[in-house]
Amino acid sequence: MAEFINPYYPKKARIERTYFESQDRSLKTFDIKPVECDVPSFIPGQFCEISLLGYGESPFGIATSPTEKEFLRFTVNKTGFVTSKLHELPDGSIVGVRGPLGNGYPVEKFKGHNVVIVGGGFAFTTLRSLLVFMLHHRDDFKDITVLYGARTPDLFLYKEELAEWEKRDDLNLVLTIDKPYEGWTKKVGLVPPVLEEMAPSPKDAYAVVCGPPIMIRFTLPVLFKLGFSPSNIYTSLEKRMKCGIGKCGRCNVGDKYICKDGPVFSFEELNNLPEDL
Amino acid sequence: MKRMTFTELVDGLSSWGDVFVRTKKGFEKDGNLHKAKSKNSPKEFLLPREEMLFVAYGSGDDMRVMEANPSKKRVVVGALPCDMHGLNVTEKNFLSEPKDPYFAKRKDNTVFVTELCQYATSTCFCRSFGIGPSSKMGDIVYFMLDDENIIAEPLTDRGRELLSWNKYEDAKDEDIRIMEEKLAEAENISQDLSLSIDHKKQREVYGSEVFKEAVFHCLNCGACTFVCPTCYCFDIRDIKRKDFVIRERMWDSCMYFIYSLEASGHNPRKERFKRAQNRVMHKFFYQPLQYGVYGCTGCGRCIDVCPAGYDIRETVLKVQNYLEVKNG
Repeated sequence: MAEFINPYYPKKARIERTYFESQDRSLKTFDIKPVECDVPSFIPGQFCEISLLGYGESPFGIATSPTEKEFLRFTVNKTGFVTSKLHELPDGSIVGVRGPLGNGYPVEKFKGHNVVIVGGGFAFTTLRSLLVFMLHHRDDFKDITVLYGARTPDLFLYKEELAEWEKRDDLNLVLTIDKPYEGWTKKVGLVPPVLEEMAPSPKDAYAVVCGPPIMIRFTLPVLFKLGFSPSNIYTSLEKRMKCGIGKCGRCNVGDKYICKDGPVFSFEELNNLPEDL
Repeated sequence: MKRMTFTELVDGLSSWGDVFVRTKKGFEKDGNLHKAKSKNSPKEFLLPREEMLFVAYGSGDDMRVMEANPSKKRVVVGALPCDMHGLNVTEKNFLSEPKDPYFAKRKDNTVFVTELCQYATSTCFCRSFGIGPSSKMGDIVYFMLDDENIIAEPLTDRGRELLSWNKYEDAKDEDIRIMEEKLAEAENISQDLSLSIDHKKQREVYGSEVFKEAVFHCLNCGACTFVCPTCYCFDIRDIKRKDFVIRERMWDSCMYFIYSLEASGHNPRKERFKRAQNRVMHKFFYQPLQYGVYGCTGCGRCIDVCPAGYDIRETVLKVQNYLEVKNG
């Protein structure tokens, strides 16, 4: 048989550690380590297909930074068939992993610039990857501003790290929740108005916006008002996926496949594509 | 071109592998040649309706995975130029990086013997896509002079090696004259839509009224996507047995609600017309942008099969006209 690298073939990986991110147990984080090879190199913003043989495969953004080489981290929202089964797996279980897939954030372009990260809810996974990467190579980037919003304090991901990042003086991190909440002393307000108030400068800056579609829709006008251009704002898209390598057809937006040409696009690119999201 | 009988051609090729001949239904093993377009295209030889990707045995650390190895050698006889062009278009998706190993393997193991087409009907419009009834494609090409006699020629090295071409006599001038006459007739029947679509205007037509109206009566049954020689969308599913799991892929269709339904409940193509629109746009906007070639070959099967009497030519021309009017 001719030797070929089969892109459909999942590599064995072990779940090293799991923990719930939220008290409602809907968000669970998995630290996964390949069994037969090293953690692959990747770019922040890329994703993997995680296989549960007999149940199927689903795509998840990589939450670790390429600079954290011990394992791959995924935070999984319990929603469908595969994610529900995944949530039930005990530590030490073996899963299949394919990836890294997709393009990732244009980190090389970001170097030497100010970077504004705007995140909402559990979309913070690949934003964590990007942020940890930039903090690791801190001197390569100018000002880093992060605005992270969640419905309630419980729904923030990576709370311990957020607390550490808040202490840093080389990072401007603002956390906000939608409505007042007992014991919450930080910012209250939806992401778009809070961003407007923070008013990060568009000069030499790129913005990365990830979150629920409604948040993105109302955040974009704010960024434009602040002076950001569509070519300097990036987002990461999601759609139903199967193959993850641009073959099976279903995740297209116009002539682009989210799995292969994305998931990261600038709004300049998206402005030329049909509104098929 | 060389003169021989159809039986001699098929017998000669059977040394390479199983021979599948164009029948009314599709392409069947040792079938009798159907002297018209088949209902199904030969795409299933490179992308089967259901195909095993791998089998996984055991669990946990002991899990072993065995890749499927589609190594069966086959000969497909009687693919028409529209069919062959369809495979060439589909190939652009599967053989672009990362290469699809299953498609590539099947392609290596399949010999395509194509027939020059004298079967054009009122639903044929292959001439819109740079091909026609007389386009020579595949490893070997032949023309049916009557029910049994053919003239044939090899087009690739593989085609040259498969038969002892020297033992056959050359085609007579009369044979060539008959062929040219019949093919000219077919060329006259196959329509050229003279397409001049500005593919970059994909955003302008998406969701537009012209599309809404043009595909309004589509039932989303998906029949067109299955008979289409270039529709290649597939689903991947696991089949769980007691001791093993098979991961399979199977034909899917963008006509179906669950095709694009997301786990959150959101569906970007919730409206029926958007699903019908996607198929047309994929062929006439997206594939030209991706690969520089239309994703339609004008075989007309979707028109022949549609229970709602829907004609893709009308839609495409309406959309083209809409763009022309809109952009002056």
